[in-house]
Amino acid sequence: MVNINLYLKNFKKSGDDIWFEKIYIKFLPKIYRFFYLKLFDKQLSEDLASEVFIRVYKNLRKINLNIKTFQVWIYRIASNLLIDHYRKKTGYGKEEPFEEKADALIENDMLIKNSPILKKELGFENFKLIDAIGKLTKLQKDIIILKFVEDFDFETIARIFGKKQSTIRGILFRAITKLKDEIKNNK
Amino acid sequence: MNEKTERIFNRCLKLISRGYSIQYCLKKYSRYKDTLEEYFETIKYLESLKNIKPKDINIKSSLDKIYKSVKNSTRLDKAISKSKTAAPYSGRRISLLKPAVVFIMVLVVVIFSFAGTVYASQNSLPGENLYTIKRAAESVQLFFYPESKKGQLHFKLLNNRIYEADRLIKNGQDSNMELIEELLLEVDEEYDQCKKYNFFKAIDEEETVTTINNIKNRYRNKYRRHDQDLEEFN
Repeated sequence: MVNINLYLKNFKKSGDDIWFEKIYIKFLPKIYRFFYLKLFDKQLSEDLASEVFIRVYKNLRKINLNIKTFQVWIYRIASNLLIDHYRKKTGYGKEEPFEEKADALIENDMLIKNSPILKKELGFENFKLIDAIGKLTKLQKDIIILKFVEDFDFETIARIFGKKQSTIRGILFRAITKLKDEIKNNK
Repeated sequence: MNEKTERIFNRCLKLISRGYSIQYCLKKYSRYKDTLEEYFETIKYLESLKNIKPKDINIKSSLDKIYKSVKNSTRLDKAISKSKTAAPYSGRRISLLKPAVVFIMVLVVVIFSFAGTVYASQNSLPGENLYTIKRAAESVQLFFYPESKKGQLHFKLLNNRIYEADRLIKNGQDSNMELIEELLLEVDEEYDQCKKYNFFKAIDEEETVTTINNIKNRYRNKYRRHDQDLEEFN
């Protein structure tokens, strides 16, 4: 993680693309996973991840960031892109509130459609887990993935979603309990 | 029970983030060992998702794509900003504001030109173009004036008519005769109005009457003599 701080500093200072490449290599799998675990579409996840890095490259020279603020920033970009993608898919206008229901509908639909591919790609155990994750709300899903898959601390997650750390802890516990029960029932 | 489990679960997460092992947590909270084990098993499942990675991605070509796309969009941004500096009023917000600004400007110009015309007409005499505007402005003033102060306004109008008649007599043109006669009739009318509103209690009536008579005499002297000259000529 110390390295990322160095890459950010050097890229800002020299503007050399080599530092951006290092950041890209480190964060691409994370951002790809962020999209893939919601969309279950390989190509779409790659395209969206690429779009995130286009925005990062375009603006990274203009702002001073350290590893923590960079993580918050990049995941906010990803989160906004995902919301835009859902809006386009459901035909929701920007001024309309985006409901959790519509979100869940799309995701479940995708899960069913892609289940044979997913089985092949992830293996059976993982698929059962993803099926259980699919039953969580959007926020629960985001928090659980950032905490246990991406190893983010509570402070960063709280900053990404603009919530208190205690709220994040509560949501995480409810999500993991639900997930545990789902897996238990499916066994 | 659930609250307590949540508290212990969060304590365990804190310990793990500080470098303690799962085994240490299970030993420390041995009363909740079974429940905690289920949670840790779920977390283990979740951690297996770390294996999801973009496969078959060529880093170099995807980076080139990013650089190309940013270059293109930067060029586009520059072109847009250039066109904006060339025509600063072509922005969307400005185009929305434009009709409002134009309307306000037109309104200001109309109000100022109207006020200017009324002001300019104050020194006009009968027979001049602006005189109609002067009389119209006086009528409007008379209509909106409070009833208690109408005498004062009629006195002002009386003075206006005397002043106009005086100017016309001084000009001494033959064509002014009819206009002066009309003005003198109006002088009488305004005098009556002043009386009606008891204005002369506040001001010396005799002085006004003298002024009116003076102007009438001056008119008679000038134009009657002229009439006599005409009669003699015929």
